[in-house]
Amino acid sequence: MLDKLLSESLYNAVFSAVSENQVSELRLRAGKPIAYACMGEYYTIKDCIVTAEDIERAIGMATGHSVYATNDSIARGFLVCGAGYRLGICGEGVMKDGKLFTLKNVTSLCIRLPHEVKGCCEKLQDLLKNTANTLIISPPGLGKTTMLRECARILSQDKNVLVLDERGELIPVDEGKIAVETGDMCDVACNIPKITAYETLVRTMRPDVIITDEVFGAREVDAICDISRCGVVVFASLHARGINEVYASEIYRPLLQVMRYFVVLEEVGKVGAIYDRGQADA
Amino acid sequence: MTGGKQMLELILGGVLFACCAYTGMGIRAYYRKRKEMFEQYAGYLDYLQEDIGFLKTPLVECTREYCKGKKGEFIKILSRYCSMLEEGKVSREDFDELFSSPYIEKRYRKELSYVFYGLGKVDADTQTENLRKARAAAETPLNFYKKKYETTGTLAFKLGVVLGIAAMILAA
Repeated sequence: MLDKLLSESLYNAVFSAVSENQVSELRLRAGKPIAYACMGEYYTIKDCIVTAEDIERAIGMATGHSVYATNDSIARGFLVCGAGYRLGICGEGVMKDGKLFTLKNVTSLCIRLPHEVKGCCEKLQDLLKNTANTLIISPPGLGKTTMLRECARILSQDKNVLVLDERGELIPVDEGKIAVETGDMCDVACNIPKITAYETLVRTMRPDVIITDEVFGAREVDAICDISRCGVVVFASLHARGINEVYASEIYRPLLQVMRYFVVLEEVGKVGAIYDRGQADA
Repeated sequence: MTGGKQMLELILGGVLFACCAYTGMGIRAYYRKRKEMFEQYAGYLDYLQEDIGFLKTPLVECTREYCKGKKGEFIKILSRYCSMLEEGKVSREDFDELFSSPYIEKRYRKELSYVFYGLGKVDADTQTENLRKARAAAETPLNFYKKKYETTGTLAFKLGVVLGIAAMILAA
């Protein structure tokens, strides 16, 4: 997919130095050198300048040259293509009826590359065996999504797992097929706003476990609290630097009441600490 | 000897007639293709307007669906257009080259290139509005080529046949 998104010169400049498996993110900024992230560090290739045409090409390929078909997603600041490649888009907003309608004159792209890292949940084995509400906490880029993907793979081997993948990157679906390895009991709802999915699919799909990425805002927190009251186990992730930040936030504090395990990532793919509220309560 | 000469004259007359009539048919076919090309172009714009307005099907899929079961010069162009999109060849030069068909006059090549270059780059409302404008603009060449086919094309064919008969008579 990347060889289609990027022009030949950009692709060769990056991937002659590193392999796709090593790169987690690419940054394209018009008029600036291309940058990539590898094991949490950013590198730029000074003599490889990104042009406006490069950005236009990437958007064209990601939308299938059909912006009209993906405008809702663009207005939310991202595009998803292929097997879970997510393009964060930054440009000039166009407002309509007081809402962001679309983006034009795009100047920057942040391309996130999906990865499957089997075994990244080794430290979570007890937690997965108990299958209780779990919140994975870390700043962006440390591997929350990769860890949740692995949780989904393991849990869906013997439990009905419903993955609510709002941005199409947690369990990527490419042309109607799940593009990563999952267990036999995995259902994926992609590109549906979380709240809508919570309201409808919990009843219709009757999952044992719901896995969802990046909880954001009071409405989503309320929905998670409601779901866990229904007896469905929730695995979710949250952007924060630690459990104290969650506690300090009025919006996210209710999660501390419904989640049992808190997994805090400290470095890329490395579990810093696991808190078990069950033990703490005892 | 005389019989052989007469036979030769007859064959020569037949060949001359066939050449003239064939040229006439060729000219008529040329005008027909130009007319058909703009008919299909107009049909394609109508199809896109409806599809994008309701279903928002991606361009390549939508274009392939339109081409199904159809033949002609414009359908060949659309097929090349789909391949171009899939390969990411979407520069202005690529689009200019796409419409360098002998069946499209230079003055219309730029126009078609411009319309296709702008496809898929905007939201659905703007896209359907742009398509409506392009469809309205397509009426002028469509009517022009229809008229050209009916007048010049038909005339060329008739003239070819008449010239062929005349040549045959003269040869005899």
